[in-house]
Amino acid sequence: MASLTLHGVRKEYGQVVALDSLDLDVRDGEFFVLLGPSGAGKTTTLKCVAGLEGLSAGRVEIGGRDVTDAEPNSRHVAMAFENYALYPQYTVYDNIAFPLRSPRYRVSAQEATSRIDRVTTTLGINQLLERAPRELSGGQRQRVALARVLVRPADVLLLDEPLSHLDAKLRAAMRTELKSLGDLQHTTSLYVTHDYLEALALGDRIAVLREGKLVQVGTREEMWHQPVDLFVAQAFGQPRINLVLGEIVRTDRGQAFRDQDGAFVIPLGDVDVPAQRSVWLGLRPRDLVLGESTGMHPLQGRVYVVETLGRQLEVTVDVGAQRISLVVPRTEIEPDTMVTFSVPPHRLLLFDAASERRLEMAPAVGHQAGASHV
Amino acid sequence: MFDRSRRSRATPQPMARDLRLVDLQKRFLQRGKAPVTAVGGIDLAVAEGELLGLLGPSGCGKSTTLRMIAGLEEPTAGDIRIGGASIVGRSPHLRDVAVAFENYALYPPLTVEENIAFGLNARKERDATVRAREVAERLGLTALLDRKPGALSSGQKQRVSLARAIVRKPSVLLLDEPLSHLDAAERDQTRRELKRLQRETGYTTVLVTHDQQEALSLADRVAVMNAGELMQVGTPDEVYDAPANRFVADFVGEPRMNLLDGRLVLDRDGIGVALADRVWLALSPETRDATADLNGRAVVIGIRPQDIRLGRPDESGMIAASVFAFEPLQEVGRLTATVPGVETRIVVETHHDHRAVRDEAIGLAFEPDRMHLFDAETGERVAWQPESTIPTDRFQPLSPVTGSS
Amino acid sequence: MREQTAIPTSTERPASETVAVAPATAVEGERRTGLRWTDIVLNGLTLLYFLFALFPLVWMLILSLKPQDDLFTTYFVFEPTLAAYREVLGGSGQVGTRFLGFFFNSLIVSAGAVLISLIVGVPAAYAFARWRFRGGESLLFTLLSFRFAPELMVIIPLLVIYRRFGLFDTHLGLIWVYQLITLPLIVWILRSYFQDLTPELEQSALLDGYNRPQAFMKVAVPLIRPGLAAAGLLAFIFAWNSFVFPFALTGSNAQTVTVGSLSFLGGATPRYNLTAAAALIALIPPLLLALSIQRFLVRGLTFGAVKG
Repeated sequence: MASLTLHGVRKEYGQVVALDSLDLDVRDGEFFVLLGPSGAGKTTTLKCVAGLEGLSAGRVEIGGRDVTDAEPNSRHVAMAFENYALYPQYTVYDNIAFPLRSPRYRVSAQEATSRIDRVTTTLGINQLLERAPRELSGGQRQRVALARVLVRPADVLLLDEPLSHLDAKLRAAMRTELKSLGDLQHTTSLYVTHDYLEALALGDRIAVLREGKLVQVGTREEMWHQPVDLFVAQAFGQPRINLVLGEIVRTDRGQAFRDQDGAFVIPLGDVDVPAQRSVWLGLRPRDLVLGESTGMHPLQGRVYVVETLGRQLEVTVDVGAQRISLVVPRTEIEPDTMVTFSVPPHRLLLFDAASERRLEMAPAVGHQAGASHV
Repeated sequence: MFDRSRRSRATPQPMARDLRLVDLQKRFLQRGKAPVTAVGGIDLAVAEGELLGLLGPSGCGKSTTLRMIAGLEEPTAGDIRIGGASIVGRSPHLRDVAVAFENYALYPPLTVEENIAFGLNARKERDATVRAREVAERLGLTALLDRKPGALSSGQKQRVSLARAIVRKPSVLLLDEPLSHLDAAERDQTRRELKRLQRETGYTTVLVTHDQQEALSLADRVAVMNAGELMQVGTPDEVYDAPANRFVADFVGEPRMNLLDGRLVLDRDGIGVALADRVWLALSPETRDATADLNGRAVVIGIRPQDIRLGRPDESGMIAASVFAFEPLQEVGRLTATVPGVETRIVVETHHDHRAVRDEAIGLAFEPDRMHLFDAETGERVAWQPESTIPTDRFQPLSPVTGSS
Repeated sequence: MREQTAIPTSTERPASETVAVAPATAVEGERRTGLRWTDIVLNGLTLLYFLFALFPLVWMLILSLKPQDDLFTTYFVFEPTLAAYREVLGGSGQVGTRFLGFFFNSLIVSAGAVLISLIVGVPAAYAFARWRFRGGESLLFTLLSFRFAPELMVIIPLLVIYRRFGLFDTHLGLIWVYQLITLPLIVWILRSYFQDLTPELEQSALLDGYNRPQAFMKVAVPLIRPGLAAAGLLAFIFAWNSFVFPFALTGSNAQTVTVGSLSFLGGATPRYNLTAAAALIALIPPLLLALSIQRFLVRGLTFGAVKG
C-alpha cells in the first residue's frame, strides 16, 4: 500500500503526444478514477505507471520511491487489462495462481490454494476453478481477471476499463460488486474508464482526462456541481446537460440570460458576470420540472418529442430556437402541444463561450444556495 | 387505461400498409445435429403507420424475423402479409420493403447523394435526384450530400442509411439496431430525431433492438422475444408496468427489476408471500380466494428499485436489511442491500441526496401495488390485487413457516 | 442463435498441400427437394478437375504396379504385381539397401533442418513481432529473399565452398543449406502468429513477476502451437522435396530420396517401375505428418484469452 504520484509525465509516440505533462497524486488507500473518452490517454497512463511503456519525460513515484526506470516486475503493481488477458492454455485456477508461481511472488502451494480460495469466494467464482477461459461468460472472465490481480500483494492496483465489454445489466451489477470490493480493500487503486457512472459510483476522487491532459481533479460532487468547463459538464449525465448559447444582459431586476433570438430568457438575480458576455447556459435535464414551481423561472415551448423511460419521460421542448430536454415523472403529454416548464436558477451553470470555462456565480440575495456550494 | 398507442401514433403515410406475421417459423437443419428453431411460430400485427419494436436478447430470433420480412431468409412455415397480400416467396426487391442495416452498409465509393439515390437509379426512376435531395433535407443531410461515407461520423452514416431506406417510399420500413454503433451523445439525438421522423412520415416500421431503452422510447408497441417465442406484446407502458412473465419483468426496465424467490403462504389471517421465511408481505382478501389452492407454491416476487421505500430497520412494516454498497450517482442514488436469508441482493433507487455506508442497518418496504408475482416454475404472472390499504403492522417478521395452513 | 458448425469436408488433395478444415454453412430447411441441374454440372466439373489433378499420381501408381514387360505401354489393363515394391524395399540386396539409405538420409536432414530452424526461428519470429528496431524490416526481407533466388544460381559457389570445408556429402552440410529453405518459412509464418497474440498476455506475465524470457516461454510459445505445427510441417515438406541442393551437394553418403529415386533410371534399361514405387513410398512421411498434425491446425486456441 502506498501513494502514487505522477510528476510531469509525458508520453510521445513519434509526433503524437499521448500524455502531455500529467501531474497526478493518488493518496495511500484511495480509489482514484480516471475518466475520459477513448483515445484520451487513459490506458497509456496505466501502462506508464506499470512500466509497460517508457516515459518521454517526467517521473513516476510509488510510495515515495522513484520507479520511472524500474522494470514492470519490480514495481509492485498489479494490473487488470481491458480484455482480461487470461491465459487460454491454463485453467481458471492456474490463471489465478500464475503470479503466485513467479520468481518474485512465489508462495507455497498451500498458501496459494488458501489465497485463491479466499479471493474467488469473495468474487463468487470459486466453483469455476477447473474450467478453461473459453468456457466462461464475459462476466466470469472479468472476475477471474480481477481475482488474478487481487491474489498477490501490490502497492497499487491498476484497472483498465474492466467493465467495458459487459452488457449494460451485467455492468451495473459488477459496478456494485466493485464498489463493495473497493470499500473492503483500501488498496491504492487507479481505475480507468469512459463511463461516467463508474466514475461517480467508485471514485473517492475523479480526474477527467482529455487528449492527454488533465482537465479537472476532484470529488464526485465537485465534478457534478462545479465542473471546470463545458467538457467536464458534458462528461457527466445522461441525457447530456442542455447547453444554450446566449449572453448576459442587464435588466431592471438584475442580470438575465438571453439567447440570441430572445425567446429564451432566464433572470439570474445578482451575479458578478459582466453584461454582454457571450456565454453558454447549462441546464441539467433532471433539474427541470414541468409546470410552474415556486422559486423557479417558467418557460414555454412546444413539445418536439416524448420518449418513455419506464417511470420517467424524456421530453424535448423547443423554446424558440433552443431544443431543451427534460427528464420528468411519467405524465400525459403529447408532441406538438405547448407546455410550461420551470428552471431552478440556483442550479444553472454558466460557461464563458470563448474559453468554455465555468463562470462562478455569487449567490443572489434571497435565493437558496443549493448544492452548488458543497 | 389511456391508450397511448393509438393516440400518439403517426398519421400513416399514404404508401404505408399494415404488416401481419401469421404463425411465422424458421428452423435451421444441421447435419448430425438437432434442428435449431430460430423463430417458433409468431403471430404479430403491425398497424399502418405504427412503429413496432422487436425487443430481445441476442439470439432470440428478432433479427431472423426481420430478415424474413425483408426476404433475406425464407420462412420454414407461416405467412407474411403486407396490406393483406402474402409476400412470401417474392424476392427482396419486389417486396416494397426497405431495410436500414445495423452496419449502415453504405457504398464507400459513392457520395451521400448517390448512396441515397442508388436504389432509385437502379430502377431507372426519373426523379431520383430530386427525391434524394428532399429526403436528405428532411434528415439534415443537405450539407453532406457530396461527401463520401468515409468522411462521415457514425450518426451521419446512420442517417444516410435511413434516408436511403425512406427514399424508396416503402410500404414497410425495417430498422436493424439503428442506434447500436453510436456513442452516447449521438444516440440520444438520433433517437429523438428518429422518433420525430417516424411520427411525421408515418411509415409502418419494425425496429429490431436488444436495448430496452431504445424500444421503449421509440416504439408505439413493443414485442418482447426470447428463444424464438413472443413473450409479450403491448405498449411500452404495458410492458413496463404489467410484465406478463418473469422474462419480460427482468428484461425491461433500467435498473433491473428485483426478482426474489418467495412462497405463497396461507394462514389464519389470509394469504401472504413469504420471503426467506422471514417476512410476510400481505396480499389482499380477494387474492386469498383466488390463490388459496396455491399454499406453499413457489413464486418470484418482482419489485422495481424505484418502488422500495427506505426506513429504519426497527420501524414497523420494514424488512431489516444491511447495506452492501451505495453508489452516489448524482442523478440518483443506488443502494444495494442484503436481507438475511435472501440470496439475491436487493437494489433500491434513492434520491440523489441520499447517503449510505456499507454495513449500515436499514429497513426496506415494498410498495404493495407495485409488486409483481410470477409463478416460479412457469414464469407466468400470478394475478393478484393488493389490499386497498394494507396496515403497516401487517408487514412483520414471520416466525418460521411451518407449512401447514 | 443460428449455429454454424464447421464440418470437415473430405476433398481429395495431393498430400503436399496442407489439409485445412473448411467451414460449411448450416443447411437450411428447403422448400424444394431434389437435385437441381446446376448441382450436377458443378459436381461433374469438380470431378473432372480431380481426374486432371490426380492423374500423374494415378499414372505413377499404375507404373509401379506394372510388370516389367508392360512398362512402356499405355494400357490400363494389366496384371498388377508388387515386384517393384519388393525390389525397392529390400530383398534383392543393392536396390533395397540403397533406397532405405536414401530414405533415412532424407528423414535425418529434413527433420534436422526443421529442428534447427525452430530453435533459431521461434525467438527470431518473436523478436520481429514484438519489437521495432532499426534495420528490422530489411533483415526480415533479406531472410525472405532467400526464397526468391533460384537454387541453381548458388549451387556452384556452394559446391566449391562445401568441398573446401569438407561439408560435401555430409548430413550436416545439407542441414545447413536447408536453412535457406526452412528458416525464412518458419520466421515468416510464426511472426504473424506472434503478432496475432495480444501483447497484454505477456505484459500481464511481466507484471506478475516474470522476466521477458520466462514470459516468452510460458505464455507466448504455448499459444502458437498451431503455428508451430503448420510452419514445421510446411518446412519439413519443402525440405523433404528439395532436389537441387542434394543433387549438387551430395554423393553416395548423404543422398536423399528425391535424388536417389532417379538412380533407378540410369543403366541399360530405365526401371520406371522402381522409380515410381520409390517415389510413392517417399510420399508417405510428409503425408503421415500432415494427417497427424491436422488436429493442430485448428484456429481458436487463443479464444477465451481475450474478450471476443
